[in-house]
Amino acid sequence: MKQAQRSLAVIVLALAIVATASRAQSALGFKVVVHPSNPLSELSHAELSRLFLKKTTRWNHGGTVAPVDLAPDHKSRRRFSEEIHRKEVRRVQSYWQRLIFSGRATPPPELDRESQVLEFVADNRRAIGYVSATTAVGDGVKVIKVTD
Amino acid sequence: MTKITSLASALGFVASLAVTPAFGLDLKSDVAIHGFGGWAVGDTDGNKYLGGASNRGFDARSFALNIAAQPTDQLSVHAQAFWGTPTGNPEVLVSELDFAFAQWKFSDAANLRAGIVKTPFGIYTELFEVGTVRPFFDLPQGMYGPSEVIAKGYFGVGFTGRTGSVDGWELQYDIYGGEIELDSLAAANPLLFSAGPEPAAGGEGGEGGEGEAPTRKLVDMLGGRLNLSTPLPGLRFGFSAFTGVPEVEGGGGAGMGDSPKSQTVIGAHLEYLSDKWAVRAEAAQRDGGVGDMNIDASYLEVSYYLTEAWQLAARYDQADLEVREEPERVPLPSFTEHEDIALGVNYWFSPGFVMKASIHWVSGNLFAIPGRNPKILRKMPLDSDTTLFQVGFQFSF
Repeated sequence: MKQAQRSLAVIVLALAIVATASRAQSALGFKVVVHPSNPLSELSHAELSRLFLKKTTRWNHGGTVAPVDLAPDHKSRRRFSEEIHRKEVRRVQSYWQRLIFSGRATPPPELDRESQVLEFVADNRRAIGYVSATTAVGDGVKVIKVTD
Repeated sequence: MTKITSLASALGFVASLAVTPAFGLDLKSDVAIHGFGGWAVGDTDGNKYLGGASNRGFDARSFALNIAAQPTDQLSVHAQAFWGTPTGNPEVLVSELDFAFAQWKFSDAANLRAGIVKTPFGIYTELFEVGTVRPFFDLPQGMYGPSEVIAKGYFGVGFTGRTGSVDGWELQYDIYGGEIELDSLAAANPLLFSAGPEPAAGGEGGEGGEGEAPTRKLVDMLGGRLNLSTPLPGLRFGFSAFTGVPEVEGGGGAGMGDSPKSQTVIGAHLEYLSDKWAVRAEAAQRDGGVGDMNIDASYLEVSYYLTEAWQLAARYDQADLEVREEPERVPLPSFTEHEDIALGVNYWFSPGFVMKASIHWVSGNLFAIPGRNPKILRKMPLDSDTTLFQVGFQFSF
């Protein structure tokens, strides 16, 4: 009986953690998606920012990271920029201008629609993207957790 | 020029691989084309300064095309061509290859670059003509004018990379070597060495900078830059330096000796960027080289976004020149000084398109050049104060 109570407690605790994590993910206002073959299950805010700013360009498990952005005026792009990069979109655009014209890097492709982002990530094993938290993502991509 | 043409051809060939799917290599097709440019008109109350002159508006205009290709994950090639009127000399239209280099990525911490590469020095050197990354139409002249402090690009080999973030601290480095070309101060300011109070033995004085090569080359050059990002978001600082031996081709030129000393330039910079504020400060010192000149330059630039579109800007920019080697003529005191206090207001239609208006109060003739015959310059009162009003637009895509 005690074992059953313990198991129940563990399950309740696990559900609570999942619910909390889920709320945290939802609170971000977007979901971060990778290719299903990507072994990654979570990334921190800082790691995510570095990947999308191309400060980190290789996955730990190998291969070049291929981030994909939404268009600058997309609501999810604005939220992603402010919550992950802690900058307004225009400052991120200015950051890319500096890298482009000094010959250091080029920005990720910018897609107009979230469905295009999901398609890009589903077709590219190295890709990482984001869509609105309310967007249904399907089986073609994997949602990863974003930690503090 | 042959060297540049050959290099551009080689890089063009490599870039073409990126868009040739049947070459037999596992090539990607990532080619990005970007560009930037601008136009401005300026008016001064006397001297010629930046894009302005007395009683007539110059057209300062520029356009650049940038191409980056990544044939493989490790290899990328970058090239940028520029057409426009050089700062301070809007009568002339130039075309030049800003950079053309190949980069091999070993890791994020180590990238090898070879070719003509933008010089990693201070904040703005790699972005010399890009108006949408700064609050004023032109860069502060003390450091970025034709003061032989900075050089737009080097021809050679360099390493660059960055470390991962440790408790919010992050290091980015550059080391490089080869040849470097600096815009000649004597060529940019033809009155500099002809405006002295006493003529040298042998005559009434010449036409100053006429006959001066527009650039000076340093060979056996070595340089580096460190950038340190801090845990405070948007705050970074760093140090830059390069040293090289002036190449002397047949001697001649104002102040040029037989065996000029090595030229060394050192600098420090600090930058703070937030959504509303941009604060930048730099200081640099050039020592030695042709004419054994010492130049101390520094500036402080502050800008603030009132709204997403409206931006206010203010800048203090100064430089002092000391010529240690005995030149044919000693520059007048005002020709060794520069001080520019500027205020500006900008309207950003987008991060890639901005209208700018600014007013500059300038003291000294180091970069604000009297528009008169150098032969009569020393016989007439000199106007060492200049006011410039400038308006224009700049874009990038």
